[in-house]
Amino acid sequence: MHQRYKDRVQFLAIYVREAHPTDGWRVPFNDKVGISIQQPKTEKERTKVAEQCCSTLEITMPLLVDGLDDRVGHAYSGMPDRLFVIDRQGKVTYKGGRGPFGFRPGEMEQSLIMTLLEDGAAPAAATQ
Amino acid sequence: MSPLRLPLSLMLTALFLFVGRASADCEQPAGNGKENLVKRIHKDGPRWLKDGLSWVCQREFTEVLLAVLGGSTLGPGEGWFHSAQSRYSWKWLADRYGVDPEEGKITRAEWKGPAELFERLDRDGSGAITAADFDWTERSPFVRQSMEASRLFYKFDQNSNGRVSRREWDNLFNKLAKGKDHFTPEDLRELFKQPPPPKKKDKSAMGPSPAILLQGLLTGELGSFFEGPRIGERAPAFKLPTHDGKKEISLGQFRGQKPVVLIFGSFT
Repeated sequence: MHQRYKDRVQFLAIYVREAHPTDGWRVPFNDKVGISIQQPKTEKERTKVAEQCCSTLEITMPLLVDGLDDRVGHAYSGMPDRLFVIDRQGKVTYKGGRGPFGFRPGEMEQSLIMTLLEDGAAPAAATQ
Repeated sequence: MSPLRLPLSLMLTALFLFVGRASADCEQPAGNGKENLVKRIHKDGPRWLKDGLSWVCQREFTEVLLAVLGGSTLGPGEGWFHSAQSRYSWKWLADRYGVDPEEGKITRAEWKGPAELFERLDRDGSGAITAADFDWTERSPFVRQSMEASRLFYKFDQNSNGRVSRREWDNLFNKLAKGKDHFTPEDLRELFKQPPPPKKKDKSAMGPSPAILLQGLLTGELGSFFEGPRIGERAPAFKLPTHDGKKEISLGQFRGQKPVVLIFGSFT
């Protein structure tokens, strides 16, 4: 989706607190695919995990690292994962449900499209 | 670890248990049964206490706490897992085009925006945008098909990075074909073979314990106590470094330029 809209929409990934660290709610799925991570305790550790995350998942949009106090994560209630759409005026137009159950990219895309329509800023040239 | 952290956690747990106890009556404050503190407050408590109590009752953390204390392991729709909110909907679009939101549709010919956006909104490919394209419940055939497709995809995507590489595809073929030059429906069904679900008594296989969930609540791993901005509110400003430490990006720098999509998440 990022590829489809990157010319007219800014995508930002924000790395927050781990949802299923080995020292918390450990889930077998992570063990199965060989991901086992302790909750980072310092900014440096967190940046390192974010880097690992970025290369494993081949994330191509900017990946921002939230502070250890999760200030942005709390300000948006973004943990463990969540989607937002913000219009050009800086107002929230879509607030996804709390993840993982509320994490619905397809639903977010519809709101994003309508955000673009209302903005009148949907240029004809689209890249697939 | 800070020496304050343990007492702080205990205090928060105690607070939670109190709130949980109090809010257990949130749902039927007027119900009969024995008088308790909460009901007394609702009946003749001072205004500020009543307001405070209904505030607590309406918080998302009360909902999730009640769910956990009630023995839920937090599935879709439970606790604080609500659906999304949006400024937009099918009704918004239908009104914009002057069509009836119940029965109406927007055909390709009527569409005034970029063609490729039409294709995206007409997600079921019916040739027109209709109410069905905005249904995200499990009643929707599109949603059910998507779930099937995802299930299949995650079987193929062995390292679950969201992409199936040629190598993963070949591996899967070899695994299914077991030395033959093809695979059959039966081979494919093998892939979905699952042991029967655990018996109710087997606690270790039953998912997380309430203790783990409470800990997750306290650390914020299960989600934030806070509820975040509402639709139409100004998005909270921030400035954060990128993972490579090369630059800082702030939300404000896109104001007036482009809409922004924020994707919160972690590795696990």
